[in-house]
Formats: sequence, C-alpha cells, structure tokens
Amino acid sequence: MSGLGPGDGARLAAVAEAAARAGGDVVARHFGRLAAGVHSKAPGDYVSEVDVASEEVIRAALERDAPGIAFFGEEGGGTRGDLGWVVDPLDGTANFLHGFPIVGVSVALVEAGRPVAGAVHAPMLDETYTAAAGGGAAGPSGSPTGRRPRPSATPASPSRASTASTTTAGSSRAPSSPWRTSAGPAPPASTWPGRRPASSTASSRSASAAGMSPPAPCSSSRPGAS
Amino acid sequence: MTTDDLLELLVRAAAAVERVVRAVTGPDRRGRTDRPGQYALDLVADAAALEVLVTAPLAVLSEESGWGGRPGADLTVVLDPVDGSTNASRHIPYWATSACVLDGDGPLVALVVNQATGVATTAVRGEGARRDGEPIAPGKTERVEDAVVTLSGRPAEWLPWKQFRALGSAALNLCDVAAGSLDGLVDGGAWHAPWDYMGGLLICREAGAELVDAAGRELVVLDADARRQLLAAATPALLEDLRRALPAPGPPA
Repeated sequence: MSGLGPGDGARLAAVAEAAARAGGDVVARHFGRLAAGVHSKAPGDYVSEVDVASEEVIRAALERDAPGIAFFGEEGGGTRGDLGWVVDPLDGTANFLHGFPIVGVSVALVEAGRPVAGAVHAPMLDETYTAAAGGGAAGPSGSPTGRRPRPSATPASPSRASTASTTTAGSSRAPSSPWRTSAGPAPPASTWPGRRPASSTASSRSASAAGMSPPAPCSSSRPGAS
Repeated sequence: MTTDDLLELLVRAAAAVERVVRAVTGPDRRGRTDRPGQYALDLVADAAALEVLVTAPLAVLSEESGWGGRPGADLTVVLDPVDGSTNASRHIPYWATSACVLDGDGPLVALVVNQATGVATTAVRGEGARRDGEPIAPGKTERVEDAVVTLSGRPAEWLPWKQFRALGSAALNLCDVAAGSLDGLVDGGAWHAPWDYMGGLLICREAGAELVDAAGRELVVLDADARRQLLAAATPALLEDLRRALPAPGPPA
C-alpha cells in the first residue's frame, strides 16, 4: 500500500486509535500490580513483558483493520517501508513501574518519513488524542467532563485494573472510587473503603496538637502554585 | 463522632468538591480571584466542602476561608478544597481535596483524594493508611541515587536522584511517598501551610514514611500563617541523604 488518498488520513487515524486503545487495555490490566506485589518478576522484566504484550495486540489490530502496512515497534522492531506504523506500546515505563497513571500508548503512521496519522491513548486516564495530517487534531476536549462516566468498583478489589473491561474499546478504564458515582450520594460508611472498625483506644504516634508552635514568619512566597 | 463517621463526612465533602469543580469548564476553569495564587474554582470548591462540614460539630481551618465552623469544638478539620489548583485549572490530572480531622492528640482521620482520577488515600490514627481501601506502605529506597523524588520549587543543591518530578500537589506527593510511588519529596523553601500537608502527614505516619520540616519545626500546628519546608522520604536513611539538597546550615536568622 502506498500513496494515501483523500479521506485515508481520517480513516487510518481511527484505525490507530482502536489499536492504541487495544494496547492500552493490556497496559491497564497490569497497572499497579507490581507496586501491589502481585507480580514477582523483576521490575525490568515485568515492564518488558507488558511492553511486548501491548505491542502484540496493537500489531494484530493494525493488521486486522488496515492490512498490508509495514509495522515497526519499539520492542519487536520490524520493517520500515515508505509507509509504515511506528509504535510505542508503553510510553512512560518509569511512571508505570511506580504506579503513576501518566502513561501512554502511541501509534503513528509514517509516509516517506512524515507522520500522516496517529493516536496517543492514556489508558489510566481514559484520554485519547488523534490527528491526521491536514485534518486537525482531536483530544478529550481538554476537559474531564468530556470523559465517559467512571464505572463503580468493588471497594476491596486488589487492583482496579484487574476489574477493568478488557474487550470493549469504548469502556472506561479511568480509575474510580466507590463513592465517585455521578452526582449520587455517598454510599454508607460500611461500604467504603474497606475500613476496619474504629478503635477508641488507638495508640498515637502523633505529636501533641496542644504544643502549638508560634506562628512562623512567612519567609518566602509560594512558588506560583496553590 | 466515631472515626468512621468522620471519614464518611470527609468523603462527602470531597465528593461535593468534585461535583462543583467538574462543572467549571471552558475559560472559567482558569478564572482568578483578586487574591494572589487563588482561582475562582478554589472558592467554589471551598463553599461546597464547607456546606457539608458545617453539618458536624467541628471547627474548620480552610485555605480559602480561614477559620469557620464551630469555634472551640473538640475536633478541627484542616481543609484544602483544591490542592494543586493550577493543575486543576489546566486539566493536569494531579490535584486533590485534602482534609484532616485533629483532636487534642493531633491528626486523627485523613482523606486525600486525587479528584482527577478518583484515587482516595486515607488514614486513621493507629489503624494504618489505605489507598482505595487497600493498605499501603512506602518503598525501601535508602539512597538518593536510587530514588524518584518530587520537587516543589528549586532545591538549594541538585542531587543525583535517579529521576525527579515536579507534580504540583504537596498533598498528593505525600500520599505517593506513603504508597511507594515516590521515594521522596524536597521543598525548595518554607511555603507549605498546614492545609497542604496535614492530611498527607497522617497518611505518611500511618504508612511508615518519614516527614519532617527541614528546619525541625513542629508540623502539627493549627495556625493559618505557619509555613513549613517539607522533607519526606520512604526511609530514615533516604531522609538523611535528601538533606544534602538543603542549604548548608548558617547562623540563626
């Protein structure tokens, strides 16, 4: 396949998005398992495994939806033709390993050295950005309000990712808290979030609040943030 | 009120904040007030949280509205309705509602919710710390060279950290140290107030992470004017190593 025609960019951007979301499903399924001690492998081995698994489903989705285009992935390599996919199946491995949700899956179509269509999906935030050369870029409207509703989760689930849907491209994998339901009231205390009974004789490692220090002079302003 | 009651109260206040801030969209999201550093969404969030909190017999110390609630109550809530307002205004998914109830013995119940992701970190004195209901613990890193450290402002000395971040919410930074996502936190100066760190302080203590003021001042103060330079670490050894980022000790000011 060579020489893209009118309309191909938008179509292939949609193909890229579906593939990036499929890879994101793999990433989301494994997110947080290392920090939670669910996985016994060394961090480097574990992330490589997730990388490879994500890349495989991306490659399969691209081959299914747009057959015959060359594929080059960060993990498995591949061929680079005049027209080919260039894929990072897990961008932000350090964040992934440390349990930070800022991780992405990047799928680009490159023609003669120039990107012509692509998608970047953030599975843990359920945000996707797409673009086609000359066709503009689209994102999650810059607003969380544009996201799909968060699913409710089982309070004591060992991993949010493990309960996430793995098949529906349109499903939300954004993390959720049990109490985060759309405008609904908070659930009873007994259902959130797996707390033990209160102890009236809880030992305290806290410093005494009675020994208040005198006000300290505010020697410098805060660095622009609040 | 039991600690369960208090935690449920804080959860309801945080949920109210999330609802009203979610409704602030478009250019309004970055709207400012006349107060330096304050966003309009801070005030919307504060009003929503207070509406919930004042239903209980508590005094309230809020970043946005100062002292409120019931003066002289046995319990005080230290509240930051939106910690990381700049992140919130720009849809950077790292901002929180932080609330901590204190009694005569200090911090008792804490809730810090990342409002962009919904991840809630909690602690009850003597009962440990949890993230979305699961117990958490800090990492085991002991050397700066092995540590992923978050910075607030520029430290006096640049250390050979393994990696660094500048994430923009002290409350979430402390939770992430407590949960092992981050290994340490270094402030470049004394600019954090009790509402910024009180929730994270209890969460760090209960999880077993280290948190001090760089100058050794008491952190548990109910004083709207107090400012502290935070230094947090997964382990005591790393805390000492991170002190190398502080200015060399000089004569008392």
